[in-house]
Amino acid sequence: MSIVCFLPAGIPELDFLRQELGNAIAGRAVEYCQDLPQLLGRLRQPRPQVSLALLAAPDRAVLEGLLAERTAFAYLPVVLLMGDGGEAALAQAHLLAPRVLVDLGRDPGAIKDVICKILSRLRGFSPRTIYN
Amino acid sequence: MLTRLVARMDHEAQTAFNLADGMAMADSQPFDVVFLDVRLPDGNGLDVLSEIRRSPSNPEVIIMTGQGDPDGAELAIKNGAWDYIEKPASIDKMRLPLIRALEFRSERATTKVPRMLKSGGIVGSSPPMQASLNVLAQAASSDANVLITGETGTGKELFARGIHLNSSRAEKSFVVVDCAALPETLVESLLFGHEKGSFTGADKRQRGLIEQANGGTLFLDEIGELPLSMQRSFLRVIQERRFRPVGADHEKQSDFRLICATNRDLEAMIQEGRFREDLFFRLRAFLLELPPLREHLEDLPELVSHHLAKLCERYDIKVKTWSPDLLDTLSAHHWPGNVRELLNVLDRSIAAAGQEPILFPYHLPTYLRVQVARASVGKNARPEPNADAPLGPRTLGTLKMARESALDKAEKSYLEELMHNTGGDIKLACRISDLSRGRLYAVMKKHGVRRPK
Repeated sequence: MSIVCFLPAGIPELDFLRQELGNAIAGRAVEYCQDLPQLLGRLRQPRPQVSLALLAAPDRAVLEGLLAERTAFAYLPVVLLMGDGGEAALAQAHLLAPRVLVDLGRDPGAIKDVICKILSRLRGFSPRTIYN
Repeated sequence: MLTRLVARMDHEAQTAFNLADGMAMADSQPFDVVFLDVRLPDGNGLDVLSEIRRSPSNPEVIIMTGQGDPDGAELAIKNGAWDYIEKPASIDKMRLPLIRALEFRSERATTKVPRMLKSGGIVGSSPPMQASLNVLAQAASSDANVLITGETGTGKELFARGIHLNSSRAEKSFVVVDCAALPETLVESLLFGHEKGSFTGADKRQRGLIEQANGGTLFLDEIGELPLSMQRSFLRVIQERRFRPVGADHEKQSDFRLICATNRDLEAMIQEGRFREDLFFRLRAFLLELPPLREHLEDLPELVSHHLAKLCERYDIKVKTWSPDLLDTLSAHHWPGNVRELLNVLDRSIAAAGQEPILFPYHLPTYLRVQVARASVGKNARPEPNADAPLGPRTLGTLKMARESALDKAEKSYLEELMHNTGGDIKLACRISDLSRGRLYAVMKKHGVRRPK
């Protein structure tokens, strides 16, 4: 089981979250992708062995980038961290069908708890479907 | 008398004198209404009520019994009976529910449901899937709460999304709340939202998921995992569609349609005090019970074709085809993880096939081929009750899994012995087990234990 994380650099809250995940989950189980092409390349590998995607969209541009490639997240549970809490941005974010959608500024410990709860339930690669 | 009554109403009636004949007729011919006697020579009519409801024409069932039996009445209604009448009944007592049931059928047939359902990825044309799609269509054309039940991996979220996509709210958000993923400390503020400064770290106002679902659909997945304290708060929200964000001094309104899903036995949870009965009854205005994959294996070719194409698209490779014996092998499997397990199997098979354009049984995961091979030589290859196990490595499993498995075995063994010792006398079995009739039937159904003939 592994988590693929797309947590853009330079955002302090996300740095704390990386630390929390590092403390809670064995190192090899968390992979970080620096940009969208790297993330998509990883997810499109045959049999990617990914159980969960943790994605952060600090702004609308990143969110729209994720939405444009949403077929890559089909069959995969997504936890989405949103920087923009506006009504329109949130409405768009739900098109990704995240299992959990939470404010990017939320306590990293709480987000880590969400990740751990989902992982404990998955017991292996257990794809969930989204068909938008 | 009943046959004459139906004939006088310009309808046709057929009669069966035992369960076996009745079931055969229900399977082979379309009926609008079935009058089902509780006491029949070869068993109890209530035992086959669900089965009759699932027969191809999905008839309405009116239960008839010769004695007052409140538990039986409750069980009949809970299992989807249209009505329940006691014998001897006057002509009027029988005619009225019949007229109502026929009116309902006629109205439902003419109800404007979307001519072409947006499938939203739902695949399958077997009778059980058609029955589920019919309920989806009815639910989509109303705004009532829906409870979707079914084993893990049967597609509860997909059906919830299908209801949303075909409803008048399709243009608005479909908001998923995974109740099992939210820690208790986070549930309230995520659902209801919070005001700036309402707790440490709340540096700005945050819209909750209930508010985000305004105008659209709120989908509470794994509703059985919602903490009891939140169940109380949420009951009020669904009654009034009003809520108070954490730290706010006024209430807000949200116009959302509610769909919930669970693979848990909520009625058992109610009896154990872990789920609120009033909430349960609010949730199940529409009940959609999804069939496990082993009950609609005829959909396998469609499912394989659809998901293979999607997976190949995802990996940006040419769509693979499959050999006929691949389907034979897949059809021989028990599918404890349902369609989700099938996706996993296809995913692994694509990887195993590499550049080869055709999938053969050889490409299937070893656990599945072993299981099918063992079954084919007559050995018991059924998986243990912890049905998800094939999705992960074959390990010892967690203590919780072992406990649940042991409990399942003990319950099943107890029920078999109970039926044997009582000769299938339900009244006596209830007295010995200290279970209500409804609960006893529910656990017997869960474990596939039947009354001895």
